[in-house]
Formats: sequence, C-alpha cells, structure tokens
Amino acid sequence: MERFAAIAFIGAGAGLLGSMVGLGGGIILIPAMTLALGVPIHHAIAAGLVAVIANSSMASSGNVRDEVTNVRLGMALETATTVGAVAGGTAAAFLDRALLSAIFAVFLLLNAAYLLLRPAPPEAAPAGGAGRGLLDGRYHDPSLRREVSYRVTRLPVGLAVSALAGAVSGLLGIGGGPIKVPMMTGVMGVPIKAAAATSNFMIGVTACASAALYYRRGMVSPAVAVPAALGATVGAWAGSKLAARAKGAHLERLLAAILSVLAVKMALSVWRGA
Amino acid sequence: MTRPRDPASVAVAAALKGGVTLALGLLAAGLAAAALRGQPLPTEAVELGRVLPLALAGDAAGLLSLGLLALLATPAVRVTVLAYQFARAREWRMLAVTALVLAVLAFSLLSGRGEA
Repeated sequence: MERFAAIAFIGAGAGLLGSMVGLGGGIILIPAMTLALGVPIHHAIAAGLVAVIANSSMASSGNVRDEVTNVRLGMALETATTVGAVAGGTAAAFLDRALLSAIFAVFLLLNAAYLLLRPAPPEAAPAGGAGRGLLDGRYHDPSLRREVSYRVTRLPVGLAVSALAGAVSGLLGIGGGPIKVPMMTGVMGVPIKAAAATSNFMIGVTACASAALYYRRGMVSPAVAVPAALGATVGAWAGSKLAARAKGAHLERLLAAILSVLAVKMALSVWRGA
Repeated sequence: MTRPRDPASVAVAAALKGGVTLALGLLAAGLAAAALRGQPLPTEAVELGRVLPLALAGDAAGLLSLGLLALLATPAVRVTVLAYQFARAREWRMLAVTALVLAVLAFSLLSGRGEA
C-alpha cells in the first residue's frame, strides 16, 4: 500500500509540474521511480507510457473538440512517429539497463537545457496566413479574440523529425513534446497553441505503438503502471488549473533544476553499477 | 457567426473521453477487487488471451489488465473513429494515412514477445 501511494504521489508531482511547463510527466516520473523506489527501468518506462496515454487522451479531448488541434496534421505526422516508436520500443528491449539509464540521463540534461533556453512563444500566429492545403488549419483563439489561420509547410522535414521523436518516445517512455513542438512552430509554420495541442494529441498514439510492445513482453506491471497513471492524471489536471496563475519562468527554472539533479543521480547510479 | 464543428473532431473528442472514462472505471474496479480480497497488486499484466475471462470473473488482475488495455487502446480507437469519419467525408488521402497508422499499431500489438 505504501508503495502504491508513493508511486501515485510521484506520478501526481510529475504530472503537476510537467503540465505547468508544457512537458509530459514521464520525463520526471520515470527517473523518480527508478531512483527513489528502485523500480526496474523497463517497468518504469512502460508505466511512463501508460501515464502519457492517460494524460494525452484526457487533455486532448477538449482541444480536439475546440478544433485547436490540427487533427489532419497530427495524423500525417503519426505515420512517422508510430514507426519511430516501434523501432525505439523494440530497441529498448535489447538494451542493457545501464545503457538505457545513461541515455535517459543525457535526455534529462537536454530537456533541462530546452526549458532554460527555449524562446517565449509568440502570441500572434505566423504570417503564413490561411491556405487551402489538406493539412492547413484554423482555430478560434479566445485570448486574441479572433480566428487564427495558418499554412503548414515543409512536411518532409516534419515527418523526419517526428520519426526521431517517436523513437525517443518508444525508447525512453516519454512524450517527445520538446522535439515536436519546436519543430512544428519553427519549421512547419504552426502557431504555438495549435502545435502544443497537436503534439499532445499525437503523443497518445505514439505511446500506444510502443506500449503495446511492452505489454506483449510482460513489462507492464499493474503494481507500478496503475498508481503512476492515476497519480499523473490527477496531477496533470491540477496543473492545468494552476498553470495560468503560476509564473512560467520560475517553474521552468525549478523543473530544469530537478531534471538536472535527476540526470546526475541516474548517471551516478550507472557509474556505480547500481 | 460561429462555424459548425467538424464532425470528425466531435467524434474523436468523444472517443478519447469515453476511452479514458472506461479505463479509469475498470482500474477502479480492479483496485476495489484487490482491496476487498486483501490481495497485493499484480506485478505482471495478464496475457492477452486470458484478460477478458478473468475480468468477467471479477479477478483483480484481470480487471486491472483490462483497464490498462482499455487505456492503451484509446488512441487506437480514436484513429479508427477518424478513419470512419474520413471515409464518410470521402477524404481518401486522409483515410490512407489513418490506415497506415492503424497498420503500424496492429503490428506493434501482434508482434511476438521479445527478450527484456
């Protein structure tokens, strides 16, 4: 019972912090479970994927209904992320635990750097304007009080980067948002709100592709995945309510510090052969 | 004047919300079953072929595994819903895209067990 509560608490904290700065909870959840509770990393990754699916599905239902999510663009990019996720999930099964932990530690540091260095998202939509392409989008932005239309460009680049994001997701059990969102805003001409909503929409299917592999291999442990998913879902819900009131810059620095500490701890655990 | 909502978006939103609600219900039932019988939570999910019979029998491991599978299946269900919507709207290119994604998901589910 204590272990259930401990995992749920970690999941809630991860979901809360992650949703307040736009990162999925898996990036905190997985290293916290392995370091604090000794959960085997493959089980932690599987639990992270389950939590990501729960969060993504709940959060994106509203954005899809409100048409902020570009469903067609998301589906197109999912052809690449799912293939990448299957490749990453397959590779993870054959990777040594220590190597997987080392890769995760590196990725934690990259995420910390991303949080500290990413530019503030522009409020206005890019100047591309409306188009009639299949993947072009439009949505009503309440903060701007107008409809925002945009053209989607450079799809081949988007597909290539999406495949990489999918592979990282399948390998490490995280959502891949820090790869996909900057790609969509910086390369494909998608406004930040639509990019974040579309990335969140895609994460569920991407995680599903590799989570199925983990389930078939017996790596999904209900004793870990259930409290992690429940805690992360509650935390993400709470975070979405608090996000508007919190100062984003402070949270980002706090989360970057947490990720850096976790990265060092994971690297040390690999070094010591734990 | 507000424009009418895209039927595909409405259907997908409903599928996502419904899937998570069903999954959470099954997980809650599994936790309750384990608590009532004083059983610890299982450390391994039930094999695919045995999940439904065990869940229908009220077994905690079966209910929890079915809940986890319902959660894992939710994104696949929403892709299927989208495929249907695209077919209805005769958006053949998007139908082909969703079919490809479904094929990859099916492959990942049906591929054999690997070594951990």
